[in-house]
This record gives sequence, C-alpha cells and structure tokens, in this order.
Amino acid sequence: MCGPRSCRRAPERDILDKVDTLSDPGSAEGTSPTASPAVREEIRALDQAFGAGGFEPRDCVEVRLGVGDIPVAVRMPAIPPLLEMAGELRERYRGFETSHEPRVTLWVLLKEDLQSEPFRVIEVHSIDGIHYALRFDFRSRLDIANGIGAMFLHPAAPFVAIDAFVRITYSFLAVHEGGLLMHASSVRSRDGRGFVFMGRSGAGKSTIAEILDGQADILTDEISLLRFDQREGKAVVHGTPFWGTLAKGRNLSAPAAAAFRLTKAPETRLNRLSANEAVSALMKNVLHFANGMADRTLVLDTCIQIQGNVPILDLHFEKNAAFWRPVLDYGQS
Amino acid sequence: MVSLDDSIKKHRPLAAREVAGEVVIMTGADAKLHTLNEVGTFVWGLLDSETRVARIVSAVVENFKVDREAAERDVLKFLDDMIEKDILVAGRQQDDD
Repeated sequence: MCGPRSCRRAPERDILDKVDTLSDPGSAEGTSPTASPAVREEIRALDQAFGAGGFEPRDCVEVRLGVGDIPVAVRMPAIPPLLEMAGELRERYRGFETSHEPRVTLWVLLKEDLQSEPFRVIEVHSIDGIHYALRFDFRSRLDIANGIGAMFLHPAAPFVAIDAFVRITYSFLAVHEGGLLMHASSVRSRDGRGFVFMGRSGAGKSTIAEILDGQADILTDEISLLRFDQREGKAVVHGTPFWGTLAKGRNLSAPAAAAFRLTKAPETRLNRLSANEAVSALMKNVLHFANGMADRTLVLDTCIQIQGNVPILDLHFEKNAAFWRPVLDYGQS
Repeated sequence: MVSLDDSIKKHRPLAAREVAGEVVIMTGADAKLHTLNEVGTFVWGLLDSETRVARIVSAVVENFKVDREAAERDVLKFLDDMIEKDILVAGRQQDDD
C-alpha cells in the first residue's frame, strides 16, 4: 500500500515545471533597492530637519480627507503660498472630507534652500520602518507607526507635489490597514455590487468606465482602494481622489463582487484565474513604493487575503458595451 | 551547474507563501513572484535546512511516480533555475563523505 504522497502522479512532461516569473517589478515603481551614500546623506538631513520640528498646531490650516475610511490630515502653516495650496488641495479632495481622528498627520513645510533638481524623478527608500521620498521639488519622511509625516517643499512647487506625498502615504498606509491602492477603475452596479478593472496605462480602465456609465456608478477610472473589511468579513472597493487627467474619483464604495484583469481583444470573454495567477495579477497592479522586504511582504500577504475573498478574472473585451452583461451577471447565477 | 554532491539552501531575503497548495515566492531584490508546481512545492518543503541534492532526488523518486534518471535531470534543472533566480544558493558541504 502506498501513502497519499507516494500515490501522487508526476506531471506528464517535466516533473518540475520551470519557475514562472509571473510578475515584473513594475509594482514597485520609482524605487531602487539601495540608497547611495549621497541619498543617505540627504536622509540624515531629513531626519535632522524632522527632529527640529516646526509642527505648531497654532496658525495652521488643515485639509483632512478619508480614503477607504482611512483618515489622513494634511497640515501646513497659514502662510502664502501654502494657504493657497491648501485651497487647491481642498478642492481636489472635495467629497472626501472627514472629521474622523487622523490615522496619520502630514506636515507640509516650506524649505527655501531646498535644492531643486528639475530632472529628478521620485525615489522612495524605506529604512527602519521610515519611508523617505525624494523628488525634484520635495523631500518627505513618513513614520506610519507614530502616525506622522513631514514634507519639505520647494517654494515654487505646485500643490500636486503635496498630492504626490498624500498618495505615497496612502500606498503605505493602505497595506497596514488590509488594503491595496490599485491601478484600477471601479464601478458600483445598480444592485450595489462593486467591480474592479485592473490594468496599467492603456489597458482600458477609462474605456471600461466610460462604456459602463449608465449601467453603474463610476467610483474612479484611475486608482481604486481595495480593502478587506474585518468587521464585515469581506473586501470592499472604494473610490479615491487620486486621478490623472480624466474624471474625478468619487467617495463611494461597494462590496467587491469581482476584479478583472483587462485585455483588449476582438471578442468578449471571461476566464477565472487560479489562486496563484490571481495573486500575481493583483501584485502587478498594486500602486506601491515599497522597497523594503517587510513592506513588500505585507503587500504580498494583502494580495493573498484579497484573492481569497474576491474572484479574480481575465476580461478580454472589445470596445463596445457587449462585455457589461457578462460582467454584471458574474456571480449572479 | 549544480551537482548531486552539492548542498542547497534558501537564499535571503525572500518571502514564501502557500496559496492553494502551491508555493509562491517573492524575491527580495526585485519583488518578482515565482510560482512552484506540486513537485516544486514538495522540494521547497525539504529545504527548511541545508539539504544535499542527492537527498532531494531520492525524496522525489520515493514520493512521485518517476524514475531516478528523470528525477535527477529535472531536479538539477529546477535547482539551477532557482539558483539563477537568487531563490536558492548552492555550496559544497565540507564534511561530506
């Protein structure tokens, strides 16, 4: 007699499939694994500047937003040009205001002598649980565990620099709260079910949202927050105010009925992904800046949890409304 | 190329998780995901401590319906692949006899 293990049949071809590389490192955008000595020097200076404080609750303005029920406060001294920027931020986050106690407070401080390097793209480093972002017009430091962040802004920087810091903050904060900030559009059907459409630029996120409008409410056509709700025991998709150039995201949410990986194709077709493919599809579309192992592992674990809770499918679609019936019907019967 | 006399262990840093019976490995340096099939998952389970390649081959022969020659060929190929991807490291054990 043989035990269960020895009764297993080896696969027909190779007994060991070669290792599949299912995802590219694209999910960790703008990161580099090691900080150069020059960057470490900048990070030391950031720590010093942070230690020097300047976080006075008096005479400051605050913009408080809640994305996916996670509140964040952005505070800055009530001086020009920050006052004006606070107004622009408030406008951008309209509909996402909250009065809940912030999970993280972000301070925005001007730094007159910040060296502006026009061609420097964003770079994020995580060292000992602190996340540092360095961009041509700002340097920032985020300490999630202590609920505080600070950014030092070049006086000529546009207000969207603050928005970039807020996004980075949510990308880290989300995974600490069982959520993922996704490159995904999302909609809520008439009967209240949430559908997520994942893909990078050009995959068809906006197209899907455009075609679906009328059949469902659009939460966002750019970045969605998919979060496991512990109390409800299910994943919920939330709109976010993080958009590119198109429609504004709305502060709506719905229990996630399914998430689709988008592929443009000559005919409409749905394929359920295996558990591993689903984890990979999620990982590939997470907006995250983690370059530390601890944070990346948290991202992986969150993808696994979401995958266990939400069916993930391939959606091959052509640019017409033919796809929405099978999508909205999915899981109904 | 790895040989039967080599010993194998896991490379750090990496994160490995079992999803629906198969192991998913995320490598630390590049955040790539690698998925192992059933046999790969079985071999992974042998690598909690440093293990000789010959032992891995024997374990595969004992547990799967495969002859020794095929098992050896495929295990070596698999291990080479995993070493190239920085998931495993090989070394010759000093006290090997």
